[in-house]
Amino acid sequence: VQAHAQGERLGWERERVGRARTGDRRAFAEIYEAYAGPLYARVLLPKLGDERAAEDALSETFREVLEHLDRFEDRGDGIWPWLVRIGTNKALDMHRVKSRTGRALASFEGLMEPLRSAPPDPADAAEARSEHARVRGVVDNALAAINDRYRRAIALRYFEERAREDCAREMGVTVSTFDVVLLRALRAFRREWDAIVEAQAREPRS
Amino acid sequence: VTDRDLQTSALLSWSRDGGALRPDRSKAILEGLLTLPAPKTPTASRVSWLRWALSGGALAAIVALAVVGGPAADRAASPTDCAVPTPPVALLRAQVARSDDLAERMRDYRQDVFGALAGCAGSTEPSVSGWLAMADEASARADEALAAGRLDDARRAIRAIVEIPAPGNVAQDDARLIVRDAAGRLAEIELLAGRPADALAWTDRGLAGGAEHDVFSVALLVSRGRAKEALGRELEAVDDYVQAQRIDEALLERALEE
Repeated sequence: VQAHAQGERLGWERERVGRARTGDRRAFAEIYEAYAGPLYARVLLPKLGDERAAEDALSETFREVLEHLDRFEDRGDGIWPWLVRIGTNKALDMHRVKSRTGRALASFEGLMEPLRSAPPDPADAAEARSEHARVRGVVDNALAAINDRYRRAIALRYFEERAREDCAREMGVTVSTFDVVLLRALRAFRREWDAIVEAQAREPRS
Repeated sequence: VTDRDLQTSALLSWSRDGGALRPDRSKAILEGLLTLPAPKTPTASRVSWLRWALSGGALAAIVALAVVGGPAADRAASPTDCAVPTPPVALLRAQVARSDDLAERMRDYRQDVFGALAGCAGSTEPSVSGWLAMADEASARADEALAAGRLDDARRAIRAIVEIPAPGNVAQDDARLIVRDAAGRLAEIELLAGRPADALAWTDRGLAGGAEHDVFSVALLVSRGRAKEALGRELEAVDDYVQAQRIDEALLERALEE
Protein backbone atom coordinates (compact mmCIF):
# COMPACT_ATOMS: atom_id res chain seq x y z
CA VAL A 1 0.00 0.00 0.00
CA GLN A 2 2.82 2.33 0.93
CA ALA A 3 4.68 1.60 -2.33
CA HIS A 4 1.49 2.23 -4.29
CA ALA A 5 0.94 5.53 -2.49
CA GLN A 6 4.52 6.54 -3.12
CA GLY A 7 4.21 5.63 -6.80
CA GLU A 8 1.11 7.80 -7.06
CA ARG A 9 2.84 10.68 -5.35
CA LEU A 10 5.84 10.46 -7.67
CA GLY A 11 3.54 10.40 -10.70
CA TRP A 12 1.66 13.44 -9.42
CA GLU A 13 4.93 15.19 -8.72
CA ARG A 14 6.55 14.42 -12.10
CA GLU A 15 3.55 15.83 -13.89
CA ARG A 16 3.81 19.10 -11.88
CA VAL A 17 7.57 19.33 -12.26
CA GLY A 18 7.21 18.89 -16.01
CA ARG A 19 4.63 21.69 -16.20
CA ALA A 20 6.56 23.95 -13.83
CA ARG A 21 9.62 23.58 -16.07
CA THR A 22 7.65 25.09 -18.92
CA GLY A 23 6.83 28.11 -16.76
CA ASP A 24 3.47 26.95 -15.38
CA ARG A 25 3.26 28.89 -12.11
CA ARG A 26 0.20 26.98 -10.93
CA ALA A 27 2.18 23.74 -11.06
CA PHE A 28 5.03 25.37 -9.14
CA ALA A 29 2.53 26.59 -6.53
CA GLU A 30 1.17 23.05 -6.15
CA ILE A 31 4.67 21.69 -5.56
CA TYR A 32 5.23 24.44 -2.99
CA GLU A 33 1.97 23.71 -1.23
CA ALA A 34 2.77 20.01 -1.04
CA TYR A 35 6.31 20.34 0.31
CA ALA A 36 6.72 23.75 1.97
CA GLY A 37 5.13 22.61 5.23
CA PRO A 38 7.12 19.38 5.67
CA LEU A 39 10.36 21.08 4.61
CA TYR A 40 9.82 23.86 7.13
CA ALA A 41 8.67 21.67 10.02
CA ARG A 42 10.98 18.70 9.64
CA VAL A 43 14.13 20.13 8.08
CA LEU A 44 14.52 23.91 8.25
CA LEU A 45 13.10 24.75 11.67
CA PRO A 46 15.04 21.95 13.44
CA LYS A 47 18.23 23.09 11.69
CA LEU A 48 17.75 26.79 12.45
CA GLY A 49 15.64 26.91 15.62
CA ASP A 50 14.22 30.29 14.65
CA GLU A 51 10.89 30.72 12.89
CA ARG A 52 11.80 33.83 10.91
CA ALA A 53 15.09 32.35 9.76
CA ALA A 54 13.37 29.10 8.77
CA GLU A 55 10.79 31.07 6.78
CA ASP A 56 13.56 32.96 5.01
CA ALA A 57 15.35 29.69 4.27
CA LEU A 58 12.10 28.23 2.93
CA SER A 59 11.60 31.19 0.64
CA GLU A 60 15.20 30.99 -0.57
CA THR A 61 14.93 27.25 -1.15
CA PHE A 62 11.89 27.58 -3.36
CA ARG A 63 13.37 30.58 -5.13
CA GLU A 64 16.29 28.37 -6.09
CA VAL A 65 13.88 25.64 -7.14
CA LEU A 66 12.01 28.10 -9.33
CA GLU A 67 15.20 29.37 -10.93
CA HIS A 68 16.92 26.04 -11.40
CA LEU A 69 14.20 23.49 -11.88
CA ASP A 70 15.83 22.57 -15.18
CA ARG A 71 18.82 21.24 -13.19
CA PHE A 72 16.73 18.81 -11.16
CA GLU A 73 17.45 15.20 -12.08
CA ASP A 74 14.82 12.71 -11.05
CA ARG A 75 16.63 9.63 -9.74
CA GLY A 76 13.46 7.78 -9.02
CA ASP A 77 12.89 9.15 -5.53
CA GLY A 78 11.25 12.40 -6.51
CA ILE A 79 11.95 16.01 -5.73
CA TRP A 80 12.01 15.76 -1.91
CA PRO A 81 15.72 14.78 -1.56
CA TRP A 82 16.63 17.69 -3.85
CA LEU A 83 14.52 20.09 -1.77
CA VAL A 84 16.15 18.83 1.43
CA ARG A 85 19.61 19.29 -0.08
CA ILE A 86 18.90 22.87 -1.15
CA GLY A 87 17.21 23.67 2.17
CA THR A 88 20.12 22.21 4.12
CA ASN A 89 22.57 24.37 2.17
CA LYS A 90 20.47 27.46 2.84
CA ALA A 91 20.40 26.65 6.56
CA LEU A 92 24.18 26.11 6.57
CA ASP A 93 24.68 29.43 4.81
CA MET A 94 22.62 31.12 7.51
CA HIS A 95 24.69 29.53 10.27
CA ARG A 96 27.90 30.59 8.53
CA VAL A 97 26.88 34.24 8.55
CA LYS A 98 24.98 34.35 11.83
CA SER A 99 27.62 36.49 13.53
CA ARG A 100 27.10 39.09 10.82
CA THR A 101 23.33 38.93 10.76
CA GLY A 102 22.98 38.84 14.54
CA ARG A 103 20.35 36.13 14.37
CA ALA A 104 20.12 33.78 17.33
CA LEU A 105 20.21 30.43 15.54
CA ALA A 106 20.47 27.11 17.31
CA SER A 107 19.90 23.78 15.63
CA PHE A 108 17.91 21.38 17.80
CA GLU A 109 18.00 18.63 15.21
CA GLY A 110 20.46 16.70 17.36
CA LEU A 111 18.00 16.71 20.27
CA MET A 112 15.31 15.08 18.14
CA GLU A 113 17.63 12.68 16.37
CA PRO A 114 17.38 9.81 18.90
CA LEU A 115 13.58 9.94 18.55
CA ARG A 116 13.61 9.69 14.76
CA SER A 117 13.40 6.27 13.23
CA ALA A 118 13.94 7.04 9.56
CA PRO A 119 14.54 9.90 7.14
CA PRO A 120 11.30 11.88 7.00
CA ASP A 121 8.87 11.04 4.23
CA PRO A 122 7.21 14.31 3.24
CA ALA A 123 3.98 12.69 2.16
CA ASP A 124 3.51 10.63 5.28
CA ALA A 125 1.41 12.77 7.60
CA ALA A 126 1.04 9.86 10.02
CA GLU A 127 4.81 9.65 10.36
CA ALA A 128 4.99 13.38 11.06
CA ARG A 129 2.26 13.08 13.70
CA SER A 130 4.01 10.13 15.26
CA GLU A 131 7.33 11.97 15.42
CA HIS A 132 5.61 14.94 17.02
CA ALA A 133 3.89 12.66 19.52
CA ARG A 134 7.20 11.00 20.46
CA VAL A 135 8.89 14.35 21.04
CA ARG A 136 5.89 15.70 22.90
CA GLY A 137 5.84 12.57 25.08
CA VAL A 138 9.43 13.14 26.18
CA VAL A 139 8.72 16.86 26.68
CA ASP A 140 5.76 16.04 28.93
CA ASN A 141 7.80 13.55 30.93
CA ALA A 142 10.61 16.04 31.39
CA LEU A 143 8.14 18.74 32.43
CA ALA A 144 6.55 16.40 34.95
CA ALA A 145 9.95 16.00 36.60
CA ILE A 146 10.66 19.71 37.19
CA ASN A 147 9.08 21.92 39.86
CA ASP A 148 5.63 23.45 39.38
CA ARG A 149 6.84 27.02 39.09
CA TYR A 150 9.24 26.17 36.28
CA ARG A 151 6.62 24.05 34.52
CA ARG A 152 4.15 26.93 34.71
CA ALA A 153 6.68 29.39 33.25
CA ILE A 154 7.37 27.08 30.29
CA ALA A 155 3.70 26.40 29.67
CA LEU A 156 2.78 30.08 29.65
CA ARG A 157 5.60 31.11 27.35
CA TYR A 158 5.90 28.18 24.93
CA PHE A 159 2.54 26.44 24.83
CA GLU A 160 0.19 29.36 25.43
CA GLU A 161 2.55 31.70 23.56
CA ARG A 162 1.88 34.55 25.96
CA ALA A 163 3.94 37.75 25.95
CA ARG A 164 6.63 38.00 28.66
CA GLU A 165 4.68 40.80 30.38
CA ASP A 166 1.57 38.58 30.48
CA CYS A 167 3.52 35.64 31.84
CA ALA A 168 5.07 37.82 34.56
CA ARG A 169 1.66 39.19 35.54
CA GLU A 170 0.19 35.71 35.64
CA MET A 171 2.97 34.52 37.93
CA GLY A 172 2.89 37.66 40.09
CA VAL A 173 6.50 38.70 39.40
CA THR A 174 8.31 41.42 37.46
CA VAL A 175 9.29 40.80 33.85
CA SER A 176 12.98 40.56 34.73
CA THR A 177 12.22 38.02 37.47
CA PHE A 178 10.13 36.04 35.01
CA ASP A 179 13.07 36.03 32.57
CA VAL A 180 15.31 34.54 35.26
CA VAL A 181 12.70 31.96 36.24
CA LEU A 182 12.22 30.96 32.61
CA LEU A 183 15.96 30.56 32.04
CA ARG A 184 16.25 28.34 35.10
CA ALA A 185 13.19 26.43 33.95
CA LEU A 186 14.77 25.82 30.55
CA ARG A 187 17.94 24.48 32.15
CA ALA A 188 16.03 22.25 34.56
CA PHE A 189 13.91 20.94 31.68
CA ARG A 190 16.98 20.24 29.57
CA ARG A 191 18.62 18.19 32.32
CA GLU A 192 15.50 16.03 32.52
CA TRP A 193 15.21 15.78 28.74
CA ASP A 194 18.81 14.58 28.40
CA ALA A 195 18.32 12.04 31.19
CA ILE A 196 15.16 10.61 29.62
CA VAL A 197 16.60 10.38 26.11
CA GLU A 198 19.77 8.80 27.43
CA ALA A 199 17.77 6.25 29.41
CA GLN A 200 15.68 5.44 26.33
CA ALA A 201 18.82 4.92 24.26
CA ARG A 202 20.09 2.37 26.83
CA GLU A 203 16.86 0.39 26.75
CA PRO A 204 16.93 -2.65 24.45
CA ARG A 205 14.81 -2.05 21.33
CA SER A 206 11.75 -4.27 21.10
CA VAL B 1 21.62 32.75 27.35
CA THR B 2 23.77 30.06 25.74
CA ASP B 3 23.33 28.13 22.48
CA ARG B 4 22.20 25.24 24.62
CA ASP B 5 19.39 27.39 26.09
CA LEU B 6 18.38 28.51 22.61
CA GLN B 7 18.24 24.88 21.46
CA THR B 8 16.02 23.97 24.40
CA SER B 9 13.78 26.95 23.79
CA ALA B 10 13.43 26.10 20.08
CA LEU B 11 12.67 22.46 20.87
CA LEU B 12 9.89 23.47 23.25
CA SER B 13 8.37 25.79 20.66
CA TRP B 14 8.53 23.01 18.05
CA SER B 15 6.90 20.53 20.42
CA ARG B 16 3.82 22.76 20.66
CA ASP B 17 2.54 21.93 17.15
CA GLY B 18 5.27 19.93 15.42
CA GLY B 19 6.70 23.04 13.74
CA ALA B 20 3.58 23.80 11.71
CA LEU B 21 4.13 26.52 9.14
CA ARG B 22 1.60 29.29 9.73
CA PRO B 23 -0.81 29.47 6.77
CA ASP B 24 -0.55 33.26 6.47
CA ARG B 25 3.25 33.07 6.36
CA SER B 26 3.18 30.21 3.87
CA LYS B 27 0.84 32.19 1.65
CA ALA B 28 3.00 35.32 1.88
CA ILE B 29 6.11 33.36 0.90
CA LEU B 30 4.37 31.76 -2.06
CA GLU B 31 3.02 35.11 -3.22
CA GLY B 32 6.53 36.53 -3.04
CA LEU B 33 7.86 33.64 -5.10
CA LEU B 34 5.18 34.04 -7.73
CA THR B 35 6.16 37.66 -8.30
CA LEU B 36 9.70 36.66 -9.28
CA PRO B 37 10.56 36.96 -12.96
CA ALA B 38 9.98 33.86 -15.03
CA PRO B 39 13.01 31.59 -15.06
CA LYS B 40 14.75 30.97 -18.34
CA THR B 41 13.86 27.92 -20.31
CA PRO B 42 16.34 25.04 -20.12
CA THR B 43 17.46 25.81 -23.64
CA ALA B 44 18.38 29.35 -22.73
CA SER B 45 20.41 28.26 -19.72
CA ARG B 46 22.26 25.70 -21.73
CA VAL B 47 23.13 28.14 -24.47
CA SER B 48 24.31 30.66 -21.92
CA TRP B 49 26.50 28.08 -20.18
CA LEU B 50 27.93 26.86 -23.43
CA ARG B 51 28.70 30.37 -24.44
CA TRP B 52 31.20 30.57 -21.59
CA ALA B 53 32.36 27.02 -21.47
CA LEU B 54 33.26 26.30 -25.03
CA SER B 55 36.02 27.50 -27.30
CA GLY B 56 35.17 29.80 -30.18
CA GLY B 57 35.21 27.03 -32.79
CA ALA B 58 32.83 24.75 -30.93
CA LEU B 59 30.55 27.63 -30.10
CA ALA B 60 30.47 28.75 -33.73
CA ALA B 61 29.43 25.22 -34.68
CA ILE B 62 26.62 25.27 -32.13
CA VAL B 63 25.46 28.68 -33.29
CA ALA B 64 25.46 27.38 -36.86
CA LEU B 65 23.39 24.39 -35.78
CA ALA B 66 20.98 26.69 -33.99
CA VAL B 67 20.57 28.76 -37.14
CA VAL B 68 19.94 25.68 -39.28
CA GLY B 69 17.67 24.21 -36.62
CA GLY B 70 15.56 27.35 -36.49
CA PRO B 71 13.06 27.38 -33.66
CA ALA B 72 15.09 24.93 -31.55
CA ALA B 73 17.16 27.89 -30.43
CA ASP B 74 15.27 30.36 -28.29
CA ARG B 75 17.04 33.39 -29.63
CA ALA B 76 17.78 34.55 -33.12
CA ALA B 77 21.36 34.21 -34.18
CA SER B 78 22.51 37.44 -35.75
CA PRO B 79 25.68 38.32 -37.62
CA THR B 80 27.52 39.48 -34.50
CA ASP B 81 26.66 36.38 -32.53
CA CYS B 82 30.12 35.02 -31.78
CA ALA B 83 32.15 33.92 -28.80
CA VAL B 84 32.72 36.25 -25.91
CA PRO B 85 36.25 35.70 -24.59
CA THR B 86 36.50 33.38 -21.62
CA PRO B 87 37.38 35.44 -18.54
CA PRO B 88 41.05 35.01 -17.59
CA VAL B 89 41.86 33.02 -14.47
CA ALA B 90 43.57 36.09 -12.96
CA LEU B 91 40.32 38.06 -13.16
CA LEU B 92 38.31 35.21 -11.62
CA ARG B 93 40.86 34.87 -8.82
CA ALA B 94 40.66 38.63 -8.25
CA GLN B 95 36.86 38.40 -8.04
CA VAL B 96 36.98 35.51 -5.60
CA ALA B 97 39.56 37.27 -3.44
CA ARG B 98 38.10 40.76 -3.97
CA SER B 99 41.68 41.88 -4.50
CA ASP B 100 42.81 45.45 -5.13
CA ASP B 101 43.55 44.84 -8.79
CA LEU B 102 39.99 43.70 -9.52
CA ALA B 103 38.87 46.97 -11.16
CA GLU B 104 41.94 46.97 -13.38
CA ARG B 105 41.48 43.34 -14.45
CA MET B 106 37.79 43.91 -15.07
CA ARG B 107 38.63 46.90 -17.26
CA ASP B 108 41.09 44.81 -19.29
CA TYR B 109 38.57 42.02 -19.73
CA ARG B 110 35.86 44.49 -20.72
CA GLN B 111 38.18 45.81 -23.44
CA ASP B 112 38.76 42.24 -24.64
CA VAL B 113 35.01 41.70 -24.81
CA PHE B 114 34.44 44.88 -26.80
CA GLY B 115 37.33 43.95 -29.07
CA ALA B 116 35.95 40.47 -29.69
CA LEU B 117 32.44 41.74 -30.44
CA ALA B 118 33.77 44.42 -32.78
CA GLY B 119 35.80 41.77 -34.62
CA CYS B 120 32.87 39.46 -35.24
CA ALA B 121 31.49 38.91 -38.67
CA GLY B 122 28.71 41.38 -39.32
CA SER B 123 30.05 44.00 -36.98
CA THR B 124 31.12 46.08 -39.94
CA GLU B 125 27.49 47.00 -40.56
CA PRO B 126 27.34 50.69 -39.71
CA SER B 127 24.52 50.46 -37.20
CA VAL B 128 26.20 47.59 -35.32
CA SER B 129 29.71 48.96 -35.37
CA GLY B 130 28.40 52.41 -34.46
CA TRP B 131 26.61 51.18 -31.35
CA LEU B 132 29.50 48.99 -30.26
CA ALA B 133 31.96 51.84 -30.78
CA MET B 134 29.71 54.19 -28.82
CA ALA B 135 29.58 51.72 -25.91
CA ASP B 136 33.34 51.13 -26.06
CA GLU B 137 34.13 54.85 -26.09
CA ALA B 138 31.64 55.60 -23.32
CA SER B 139 33.20 52.88 -21.22
CA ALA B 140 36.71 54.29 -21.80
CA ARG B 141 35.52 57.81 -20.91
CA ALA B 142 34.02 56.45 -17.71
CA ASP B 143 37.32 54.75 -16.85
CA GLU B 144 39.13 58.07 -17.19
CA ALA B 145 36.52 59.96 -15.21
CA LEU B 146 36.54 57.39 -12.41
CA ALA B 147 40.34 57.48 -12.24
CA ALA B 148 40.07 61.24 -11.75
CA GLY B 149 37.25 60.91 -9.21
CA ARG B 150 34.72 62.65 -11.49
CA LEU B 151 31.65 60.57 -10.66
CA ASP B 152 29.17 62.78 -12.54
CA ASP B 153 31.14 62.48 -15.78
CA ALA B 154 31.50 58.72 -15.32
CA ARG B 155 27.76 58.38 -14.69
CA ARG B 156 26.89 60.45 -17.75
CA ALA B 157 29.19 58.36 -19.95
CA ILE B 158 27.83 54.99 -18.85
CA ARG B 159 24.21 56.10 -18.93
CA ALA B 160 24.56 56.62 -22.67
CA ILE B 161 25.08 52.87 -23.04
CA VAL B 162 21.83 51.98 -21.32
CA GLU B 163 19.84 54.84 -22.81
CA ILE B 164 20.78 54.45 -26.48
CA PRO B 165 18.99 51.29 -27.59
CA ALA B 166 21.04 48.69 -29.42
CA PRO B 167 20.12 48.38 -33.10
CA GLY B 168 18.02 45.36 -33.93
CA ASN B 169 20.85 43.64 -35.73
CA VAL B 170 23.10 43.50 -32.68
CA ALA B 171 22.78 40.01 -31.19
CA GLN B 172 20.45 40.10 -28.20
CA ASP B 173 22.92 38.34 -25.94
CA ASP B 174 25.72 40.71 -26.89
CA ALA B 175 23.58 43.78 -26.30
CA ARG B 176 22.31 42.40 -23.01
CA LEU B 177 25.82 41.62 -21.86
CA ILE B 178 26.99 45.16 -22.57
CA VAL B 179 23.95 46.70 -20.89
CA ARG B 180 24.35 44.41 -17.86
CA ASP B 181 27.95 45.50 -17.52
CA ALA B 182 26.85 49.13 -17.80
CA ALA B 183 24.20 48.62 -15.11
CA GLY B 184 26.85 47.12 -12.84
CA ARG B 185 29.15 50.06 -13.43
CA LEU B 186 26.36 52.55 -12.73
CA ALA B 187 25.63 50.72 -9.49
CA GLU B 188 29.30 51.03 -8.48
CA ILE B 189 29.24 54.73 -9.28
CA GLU B 190 26.09 55.25 -7.18
CA LEU B 191 27.67 53.35 -4.30
CA LEU B 192 30.71 55.60 -4.51
CA ALA B 193 28.35 58.57 -4.56
CA GLY B 194 26.61 57.30 -1.40
CA ARG B 195 23.31 56.58 -3.16
CA PRO B 196 22.59 52.92 -2.36
CA ALA B 197 18.92 53.07 -3.39
CA ASP B 198 19.94 54.15 -6.90
CA ALA B 199 22.66 51.50 -6.91
CA LEU B 200 20.09 48.88 -5.96
CA ALA B 201 17.80 49.96 -8.79
CA TRP B 202 20.64 49.54 -11.32
CA THR B 203 21.62 46.13 -10.02
CA ASP B 204 18.01 44.97 -10.10
CA ARG B 205 17.80 46.10 -13.69
CA GLY B 206 21.06 44.34 -14.55
CA LEU B 207 19.92 41.14 -12.88
CA ALA B 208 16.35 41.19 -14.17
CA GLY B 209 15.59 37.69 -15.37
CA GLY B 210 18.18 36.12 -13.07
CA ALA B 211 21.93 36.04 -12.71
CA GLU B 212 23.92 34.68 -15.64
CA HIS B 213 26.99 32.59 -14.91
CA ASP B 214 29.49 35.25 -15.83
CA VAL B 215 31.76 37.85 -14.27
CA PHE B 216 29.30 40.67 -14.97
CA SER B 217 26.61 39.01 -12.89
CA VAL B 218 29.13 38.48 -10.10
CA ALA B 219 29.91 42.21 -10.14
CA LEU B 220 26.18 43.03 -10.12
CA LEU B 221 25.47 40.66 -7.23
CA VAL B 222 28.32 42.07 -5.15
CA SER B 223 27.13 45.64 -5.81
CA ARG B 224 23.58 44.65 -4.96
CA GLY B 225 24.79 43.12 -1.71
CA ARG B 226 26.67 46.31 -0.84
CA ALA B 227 23.63 48.44 -1.67
CA LYS B 228 21.37 46.29 0.47
CA GLU B 229 23.84 46.37 3.33
CA ALA B 230 23.92 50.15 3.12
CA LEU B 231 20.11 50.11 3.26
CA GLY B 232 20.09 47.92 6.37
CA ARG B 233 18.98 44.75 4.55
CA GLU B 234 21.94 42.69 5.73
CA LEU B 235 20.41 39.25 5.47
CA GLU B 236 19.36 39.76 1.86
CA ALA B 237 22.83 41.14 1.17
CA VAL B 238 24.39 37.95 2.43
CA ASP B 239 22.32 35.96 -0.07
CA ASP B 240 23.70 38.05 -2.92
CA TYR B 241 27.27 37.61 -1.69
CA VAL B 242 26.81 33.86 -1.39
CA GLN B 243 25.35 33.62 -4.89
CA ALA B 244 28.19 35.73 -6.29
CA GLN B 245 30.74 33.56 -4.56
CA ARG B 246 29.17 30.39 -5.93
CA ILE B 247 29.15 31.65 -9.52
CA ASP B 248 32.70 32.89 -9.12
CA GLU B 249 33.97 29.61 -7.77
CA ALA B 250 32.20 27.65 -10.49
CA LEU B 251 33.70 29.87 -13.19
CA LEU B 252 37.14 29.57 -11.65
CA GLU B 253 36.87 25.82 -11.37
CA ARG B 254 35.82 25.57 -14.99
CA ALA B 255 38.60 27.90 -16.15
CA LEU B 256 41.20 25.89 -14.24
CA GLU B 257 39.91 22.64 -15.73
CA GLU B 258 40.38 24.10 -19.20
